Amino acid sequence: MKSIQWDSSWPKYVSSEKRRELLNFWETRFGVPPALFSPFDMAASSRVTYLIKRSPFLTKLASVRIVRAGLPFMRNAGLYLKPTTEAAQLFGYMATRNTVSLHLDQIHSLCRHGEITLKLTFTSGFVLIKEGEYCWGCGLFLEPDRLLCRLPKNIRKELERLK
Amino acid sequence: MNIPDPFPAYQEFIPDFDRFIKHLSVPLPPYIRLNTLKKPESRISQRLLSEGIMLEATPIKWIYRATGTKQLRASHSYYLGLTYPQALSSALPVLALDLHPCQLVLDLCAAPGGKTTHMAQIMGDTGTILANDRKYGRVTALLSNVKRMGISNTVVSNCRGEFLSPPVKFDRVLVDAPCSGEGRYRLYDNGEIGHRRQGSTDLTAIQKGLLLKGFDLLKPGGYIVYSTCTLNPLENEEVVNHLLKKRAANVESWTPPLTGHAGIECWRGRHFDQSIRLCRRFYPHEIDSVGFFVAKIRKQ
Repeated sequence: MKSIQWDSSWPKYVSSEKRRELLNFWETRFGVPPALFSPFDMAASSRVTYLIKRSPFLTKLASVRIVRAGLPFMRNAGLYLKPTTEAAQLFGYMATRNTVSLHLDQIHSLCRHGEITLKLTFTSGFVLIKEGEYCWGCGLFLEPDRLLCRLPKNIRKELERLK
Repeated sequence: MNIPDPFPAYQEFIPDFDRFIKHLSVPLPPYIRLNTLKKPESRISQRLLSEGIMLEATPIKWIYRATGTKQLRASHSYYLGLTYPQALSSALPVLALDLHPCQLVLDLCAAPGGKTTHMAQIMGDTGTILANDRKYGRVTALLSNVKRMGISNTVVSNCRGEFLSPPVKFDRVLVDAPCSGEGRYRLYDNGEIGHRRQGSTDLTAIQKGLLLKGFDLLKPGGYIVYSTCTLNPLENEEVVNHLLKKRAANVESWTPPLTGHAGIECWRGRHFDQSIRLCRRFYPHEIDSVGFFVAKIRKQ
């Protein structure tokens, strides 16, 4: 990719290696095909990788001081990569593995208690929490039967309140 | 009935003024936009129905009048990014922009993001939108709404609109300027106006500066839409008239999907350019939503 004099507020485009690593994560962990992400560029700040819809205008806006570009896609959670809630909600419908289908009552319970007990055959790691065709976000499954809530605080708070 | 300021002065141009005053005491109905970037309209309306929210069609695509017991911002669909509660008339400036996919668009006063996300939806999340707002607190709401709706074509900046200087011209510019918000005014039981904007800011001067800046950032042949949710001609026609005096701009006619009226050509001894009548005014009692002013302007 051509070198661009970005304003320091912009996240940096990720290398093709890093892009492959991120797409490989979605494919191996959730079965989401990499082709789904082909209309997007990826740029990263220190902790978050963003999906930005590919457009010839981005380079022209590079000197503008910004707060954010695109949609948060992945977050570095310690040593692990975690899909953001926004990415999970947007692409989760394509996931074929490591998804947990819950009833609304179970999602409320997960939010209220922070974790629930579920017998699953998955290996430990992030899972996508689905309710029918809708994906709410991520949970962290710990073998053999703990599902920890990893939904953002605002959603947890509202789901605890709503019923 | 005692008519509160500023409305007595508007009797000469607000049609059916008595009905307008009576309507001020009626709460405005809630409207909701369905986010087709995430799911098809039919699936979202099914989900809303299961949550106890009924939808009634409006003349504007994707926007429905919502009824039911549940608050729109307290629904599951809201947190899944399937809906955006907004005023029906807020869609009008976006429709006037005549957006197409893959364009470069500037939203100069973007927060909290209703119009930005509507633009992204019309553009199918393609092209690029630069969404700017001056106040950081409001930018937080903008960021939150953009990500909640799953939008990836938007770049958010936080500076005074007058000082924004990207080295590029835009296909479309929206200046939904800060205003006195008279179109939102509602009367309390005691006859007082609720949500009245306080302070002594010279809004007209700010609006003129923003519109000139927005126009200067527009490509020749492109459209800029100036809109406010106020009925005050000094914040509407006067501002557009100022632009027409300073720059080579043409006000364009457009056909809105809601009942509207022509812009005012004369107000308190001020005579505006004749083309100002092509601007559109929308009154709350006629559209059952927030009052709006929309001017569609083309750069020569």
